[in-house]
Amino acid sequence: MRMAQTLGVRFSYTEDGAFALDGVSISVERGEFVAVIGRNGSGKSTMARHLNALLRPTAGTVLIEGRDTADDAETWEIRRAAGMVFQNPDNQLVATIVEDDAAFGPENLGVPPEEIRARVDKALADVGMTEHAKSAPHRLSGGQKQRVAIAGVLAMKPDCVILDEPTAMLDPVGREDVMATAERLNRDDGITIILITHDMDEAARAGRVIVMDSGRVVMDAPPREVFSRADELARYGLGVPQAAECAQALRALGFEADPGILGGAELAEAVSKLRGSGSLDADRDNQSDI
Amino acid sequence: MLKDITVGQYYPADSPMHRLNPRVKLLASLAFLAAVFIISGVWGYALAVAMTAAVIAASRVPVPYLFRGLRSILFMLLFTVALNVFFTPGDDVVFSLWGLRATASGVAVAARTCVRLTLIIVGSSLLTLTTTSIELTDAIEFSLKPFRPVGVPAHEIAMMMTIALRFIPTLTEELDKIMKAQAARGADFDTGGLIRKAKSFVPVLVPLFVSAFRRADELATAMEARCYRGGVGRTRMRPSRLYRRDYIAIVLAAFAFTAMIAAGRIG
Repeated sequence: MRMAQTLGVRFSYTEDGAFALDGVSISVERGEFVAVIGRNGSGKSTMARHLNALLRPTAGTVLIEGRDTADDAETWEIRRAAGMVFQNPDNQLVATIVEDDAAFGPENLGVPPEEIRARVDKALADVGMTEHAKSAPHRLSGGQKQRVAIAGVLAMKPDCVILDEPTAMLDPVGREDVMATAERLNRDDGITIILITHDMDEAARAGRVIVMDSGRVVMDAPPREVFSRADELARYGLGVPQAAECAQALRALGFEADPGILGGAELAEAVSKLRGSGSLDADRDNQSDI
Repeated sequence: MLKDITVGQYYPADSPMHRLNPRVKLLASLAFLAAVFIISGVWGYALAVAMTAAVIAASRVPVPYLFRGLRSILFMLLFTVALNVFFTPGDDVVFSLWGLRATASGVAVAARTCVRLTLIIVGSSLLTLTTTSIELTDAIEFSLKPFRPVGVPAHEIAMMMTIALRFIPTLTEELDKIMKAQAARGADFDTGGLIRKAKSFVPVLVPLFVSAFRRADELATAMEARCYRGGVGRTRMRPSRLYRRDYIAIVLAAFAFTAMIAAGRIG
């Protein structure tokens, strides 16, 4: 069964206003790592909020593991299955100590005490926060708080974690912390990850990238394909990962660089091959422009 | 100054006081506050102070940390003391200052009030310093349960208090940030009379309130996303159980309060 599926979803925040989502149909399989990108107001966060029944479509259907989010009776099972982590780490932690916060979800679900304990311990271990179990959230760094928020979701034993710009307010170390945690959960525990992000380098790490613009899905493909279409992305107000941008600049100068380059390592390899082929010497005049 | 508020903060430690059942701690604290108002006489107060000192020792909360919280109410304390010293009627004048006469009974009343206020603040700080907010919620909910039939929303009140406690440090930090931001724009919080000072806080409080509302909205969404739906059907990671130590604490507290009140009657 599909993890999440939206069928022609339209949504408007106001009665008569413009549609924040205007016919979105996507489908996410179990175990996928999907990044959703788009400029501000493209509808990506609105879409995320539909996936755990925080918002309900004006028209169309959202199915989470086959459950319709429009059905009141399914709301809690949907929210358990598709946990959500928000942008601001300060505004989603409820308790004054870390482990109590991780326990908040399962407590709401009515899980027996011994099992909550076991789940909380495992969730904190999964995000590497065991040593801070007794700390107060306001003493932690942004990245640590975000990992606690992820643990709070994991303790509900979700099948899918939706991260709504989880790194937007973090420093580089915190960003890497959160990204590495998400990747590990996806790889080791088979948890489906849906990552809403502004950061193209983060999106490039996903297995699939969905690009949204004006409430519509305009691209839906593996990152290599999406980021090789830089001109099209620019039309939607989006850039490409740094390495891809660099590769593009090399190509513009007449060098051979694969349009599929996304990461620093790939770029380095391509550049080292250039040196081997001697083309750097041949184009010394161009090189000085880089 | 803002960082000094210790009332309502949790001090993480592993002490006999931390391990005590929160329901026992809450009810004992309430009984203590009531006792502080009943006691009289030097011996009554001496016992109350001794008992508080014993509890502080058992809580392993560093004394300087605990008393930092008192600094923020120092002004109120001094004000109360001055008022009592100079305005208690009596003929037994001890000294006079600027035409104000301080009476012996006034000094006695002032000392009593001062000790009472300090005991109340320290007593209630000790409760929150050794009890996590979720434990406190549980205890409040438990103590309000008998009133539920008459329409007291026990769970909701408890949850409201927890969140308030959770956000004290966050909003304190934010207030600090806004004050610095306004100071950088030339705001002046330190000069002028009371009214001018109060006025200078308007540009601080407005953004603080706006931000608090925004936070409230986001937190509510996050709580809903984590399946929060009120107190019905909720379980606890640490179900409240009474252990041997809790029974011992109940007996000790009962003895202490009786002794405090009795000592007042004698002395």
